[in-house]
Amino acid sequence: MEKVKEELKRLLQEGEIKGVLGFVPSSSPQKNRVFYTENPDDVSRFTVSLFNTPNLTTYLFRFKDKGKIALFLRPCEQRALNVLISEGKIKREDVFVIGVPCQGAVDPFRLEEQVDAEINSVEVKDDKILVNNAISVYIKEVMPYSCRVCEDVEEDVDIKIDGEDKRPSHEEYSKIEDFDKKTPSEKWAFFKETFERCTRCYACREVCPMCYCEQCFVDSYDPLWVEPGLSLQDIMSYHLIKMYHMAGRCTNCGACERACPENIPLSLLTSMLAHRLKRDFGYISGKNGTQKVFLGEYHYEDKGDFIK
Amino acid sequence: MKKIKLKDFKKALSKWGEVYIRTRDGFLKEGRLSSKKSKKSPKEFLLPREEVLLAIHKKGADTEVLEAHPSKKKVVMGALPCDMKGLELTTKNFLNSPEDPYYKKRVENTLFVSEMCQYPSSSCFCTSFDYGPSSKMGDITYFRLNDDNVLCEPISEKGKKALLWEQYPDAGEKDLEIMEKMLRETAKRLQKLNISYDFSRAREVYASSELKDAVFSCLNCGACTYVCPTCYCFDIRDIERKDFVLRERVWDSCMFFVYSLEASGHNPRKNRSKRAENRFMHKFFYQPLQYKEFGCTGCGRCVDVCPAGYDIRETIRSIQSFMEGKNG
Repeated sequence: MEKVKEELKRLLQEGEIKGVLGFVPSSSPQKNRVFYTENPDDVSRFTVSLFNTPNLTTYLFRFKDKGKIALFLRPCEQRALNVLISEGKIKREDVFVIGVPCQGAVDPFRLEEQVDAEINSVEVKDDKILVNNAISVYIKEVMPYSCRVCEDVEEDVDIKIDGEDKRPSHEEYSKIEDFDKKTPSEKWAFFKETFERCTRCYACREVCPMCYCEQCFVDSYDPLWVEPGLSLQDIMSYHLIKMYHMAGRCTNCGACERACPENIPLSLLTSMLAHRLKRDFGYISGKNGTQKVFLGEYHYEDKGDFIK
Repeated sequence: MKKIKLKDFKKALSKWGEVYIRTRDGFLKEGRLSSKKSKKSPKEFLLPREEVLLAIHKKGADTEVLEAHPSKKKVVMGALPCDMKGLELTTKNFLNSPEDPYYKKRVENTLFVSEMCQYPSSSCFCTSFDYGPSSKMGDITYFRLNDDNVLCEPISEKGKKALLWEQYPDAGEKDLEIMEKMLRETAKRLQKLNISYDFSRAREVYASSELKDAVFSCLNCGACTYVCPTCYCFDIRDIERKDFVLRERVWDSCMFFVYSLEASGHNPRKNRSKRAENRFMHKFFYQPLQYKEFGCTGCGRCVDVCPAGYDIRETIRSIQSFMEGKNG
């Protein structure tokens, strides 16, 4: 990390990059704060940890045509960048990618729920987090499900932080396959139980790098696609239509789930998209920056049995 | 002050209306009185997340307008001083001329029983404003002496009439001493910020790069505005049903793009950072200018709920040093 910081400082001083986007510690140890700087002296403040919650590619839209921005990205976040590149939204040459060794990302709200106490300190010890020097929690228990089923990326980074990539063991979407076996009424019962808490704060939308529409369908008055209230019908309409828009694009980074203050397991939905994409089409979104957008190409050998 | 068993206190209050108590998740009919602040403020008792204002009933060629009048009596038990301070501020907005009849009706139908606070967390900074954990607010206030007993007293006329106060014994000297001591200790554990702003410099602050940099991490989701005890923005929508059109009032958030979108298509706060800057300005400049009080109660819920690790206290400090720097 120190070598990378030295290099970033030099790049800023020499004007090769315009600024650096990353995380600095915040007043809550379980969630670091997003921070941007153009000042070489600030580079030392950056931190890389399990507690970096949002996907930084979301913030890139704020720097359009502003020069080259360096940012810290985990593999799934690099894939999100690749999708944005293949969709023509971001130019690769405008971004300086700092590869981050990953061991998953913690959902701060789930961690709070698990320890049920105010969090004053966190310390990572192997596969556990020690909270307040007293309570030990398995990292796996406080990660979004997406972290357990993450896919690899064809690495295209400008610089890499040394460190072992300790991503959690691959579970081959077993939870999704189990979910598939449920009856429609069982599935609905699950949705009712988990999504009823949604307050429609749209943190999941705002944190998502794929949600870059200037005006979201839920914000439309005419036509009114989704009513503004909190009935389960409206809540599910929002989440399921959002998922339609994610199909083939979402890289299952889990930022939506980590951002949700109500602990809704949103990455189960995004993992389902990833599962179908891989199973039925052998496609992994954002695997590299050159593959075509999933819904933007077709092959003769594509399964067509859904068209009758 | 009177000393009452918590169980009896709750029972007596339930004669006034349905009792909602403070739990970690919010103010609920069931659950145990929490020893933390709730994630959500009790503002929804006066300004519900969604509320039908009127219904237009289609009857063939005729229509009938039915106005909705909230009438259920509710007791909000265990609201902390920061919650009550928040309601004071929203009430200033809604009961200022012209009065909001729906809000007013809810005020009349709700009995606020506040609890003096012994639960400071690291995100709290209420003493930075003109009140604190020992402030006696609402219709009735109480102090939780232990798991079973409370010391309480009425504040408003409504509170005086709500219970038969004479039947309860007065609190003893010792109990009062314990209360004073505990409340003093709570106040000591709270972070106090220096906020001495020159409100006439609002424009200068709004245009400053200090403010822009301070709010950078904000993602513009509505999480903080929904848990905030003083955010009261709403939207009115007409919803069509089979034989009805319902006019509903729903919460809105200044963080959203459509909040400031004008009919012409122009959006004065199209830029994300401008929306976050505006929220800060509203709480710390515009509201003091209009109502002579800050629009923030220091409850710290926005700090707790932010997915991007944004902390409003950092912005408060940064603007304080901006004020001092430019003055000096």
